[in-house]
Amino acid sequence: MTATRILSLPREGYGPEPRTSADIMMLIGARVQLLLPSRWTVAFTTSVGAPDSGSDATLTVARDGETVVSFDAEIKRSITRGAVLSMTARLEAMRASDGRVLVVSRYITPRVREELRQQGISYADATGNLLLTTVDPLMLVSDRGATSDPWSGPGRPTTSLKGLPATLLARALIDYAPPYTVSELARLAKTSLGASYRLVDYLVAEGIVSRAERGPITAVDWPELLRRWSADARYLDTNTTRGFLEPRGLDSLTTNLAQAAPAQRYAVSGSLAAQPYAPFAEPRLALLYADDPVELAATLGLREVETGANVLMASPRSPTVFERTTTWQGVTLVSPSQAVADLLSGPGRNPAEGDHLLEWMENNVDTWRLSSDR
Amino acid sequence: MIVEARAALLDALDALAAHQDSVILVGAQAVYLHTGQASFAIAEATKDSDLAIDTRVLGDSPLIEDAMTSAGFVLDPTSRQPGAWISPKGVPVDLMVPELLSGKRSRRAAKIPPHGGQAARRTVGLEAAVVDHNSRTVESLDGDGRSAIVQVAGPAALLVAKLHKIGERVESPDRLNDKDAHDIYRLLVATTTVDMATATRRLLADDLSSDVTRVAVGLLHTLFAEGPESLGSVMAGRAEEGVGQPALVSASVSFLAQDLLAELSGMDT
Repeated sequence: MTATRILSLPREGYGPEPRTSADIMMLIGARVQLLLPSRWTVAFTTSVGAPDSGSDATLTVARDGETVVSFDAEIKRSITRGAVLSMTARLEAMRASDGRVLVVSRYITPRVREELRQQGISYADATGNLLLTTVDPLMLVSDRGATSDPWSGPGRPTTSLKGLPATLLARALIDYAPPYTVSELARLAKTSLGASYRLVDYLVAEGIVSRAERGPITAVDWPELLRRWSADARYLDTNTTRGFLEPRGLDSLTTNLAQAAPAQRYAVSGSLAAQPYAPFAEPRLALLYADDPVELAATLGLREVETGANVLMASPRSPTVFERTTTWQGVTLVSPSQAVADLLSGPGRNPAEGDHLLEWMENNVDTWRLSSDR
Repeated sequence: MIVEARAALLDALDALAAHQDSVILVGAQAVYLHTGQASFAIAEATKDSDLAIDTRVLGDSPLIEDAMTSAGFVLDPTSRQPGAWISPKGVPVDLMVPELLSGKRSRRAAKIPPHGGQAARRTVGLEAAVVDHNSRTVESLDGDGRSAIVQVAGPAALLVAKLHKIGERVESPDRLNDKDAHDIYRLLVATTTVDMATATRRLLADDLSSDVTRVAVGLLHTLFAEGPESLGSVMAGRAEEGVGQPALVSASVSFLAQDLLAELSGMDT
């Protein structure tokens, strides 16, 4: 099918989800057309079908009706960083035969776009993330679209690290040094085998986890996993927090915690949890997890405040925060991995403290990382 | 600055060695001796030494003005206030007598014969310091190994004195010093509420200090306990502007004042 119809874009937002290759190409064609000078036009062909069916497309840019450049579009349902890496060899071959390649998908993540850019591969998605580049003739068309997939919703394959199973698995993958099999991972993380396989598949595709063919997990890019998990599961978003004031300051808070030895489960995270490993500056904000924050606050003589809190307390959605804690000066601290995740997504100067602790973790892996048989 | 202030204090204690039992350290240097363990956003800073004199145990000889001048101290010629002494190195040392022990009415000077009328200044609020104090060793901070044993006013007495200092100046805001309110915050942070209340209770029970302490408790209520927006709370926070967390300090000092008042009223019943 050759399309030379009038291209139009949704009036606001990104419109309904484009389901077919033609839908995607039409949106991309309209977005490219908007960026071209007058007298330049864009045209495309698609064969009927869904993305990934091997029925690919071409996108042609013309001036005064004369073709200037034509791209072979490779349309993907979704595209991961791993997929880009595996595509490279094939794309290399196409490029060698003077073919110009355009990777197309409904939505392409910033990370994958960066990977494509580095490989010198043109891409386009239906939200308007575009990079059309050729050396001869010299052309560069570039634009930015959505920063997250506007059409992703519940029921789609795991593409984030939110939720309880992901949290359990991320913490286990970070805290335990491989090798271990996926079923061993499920046991370490105390979650289901199905969830473990799904998340591991996703992380393998993302290039974060390496796994032998039908074999054990052999390597984990744990700093990257920690950053991504932290971004997906922010302390303040995923936990119901309350603000309190300890009017005598955080030294007093830790002294009282050690003396009170609360009967309920609690764990200190944030700046205070970094103190034994990578003290940064004087901690100003305490993050605590407790089964019953209000009761713990009463035990410690804290006052609940609307603003100006120096203690944030959360009743955790996931019991993971109480896994692999340590005791320091009589106070229960979350694991370094949990502390980093909470700091990176925390307020004020917490992210800088998180970077500092993460750097310590990278330099002292033997100190904190556990072996799977423990 | 604090090193020089400490040196001048040791000079003054040396000069007044014969009156050792009647000299009590008050003011910021005394506050810091109690609050050194806790950490605060603004550094300890004071240029002067404040000494209260308990005239009830003060001997006649040597005369205070003679002792001070022979140690090289001079009365500050610019302020021309009684009791405003300057050390040989130019650091201020203030000698003060609690109002109730200052003899017959005079505007500024403490009438404590046979000592001279310019030797010390009468000051309201220091009555608590002559009732509540403990001896401590004060050491030089510049490593010369000098030290002296001195009576240091207790946290509750210092709280009373600071509250009077702020209270006196509420009507003339340009004389208010945010650091005085921050010193109150330091005292309340570093002392447990129960200890502070117990000591305050003793001051309320003593004839010499009961009146000033009652007034101070009232000032604590209006200046601090009424909320983070009350004058004293705001001043304490403002002292940390740019380096600390003003809002946190204002809220904290107000809560601690409320706690102390609640503890005091709990003791009444």
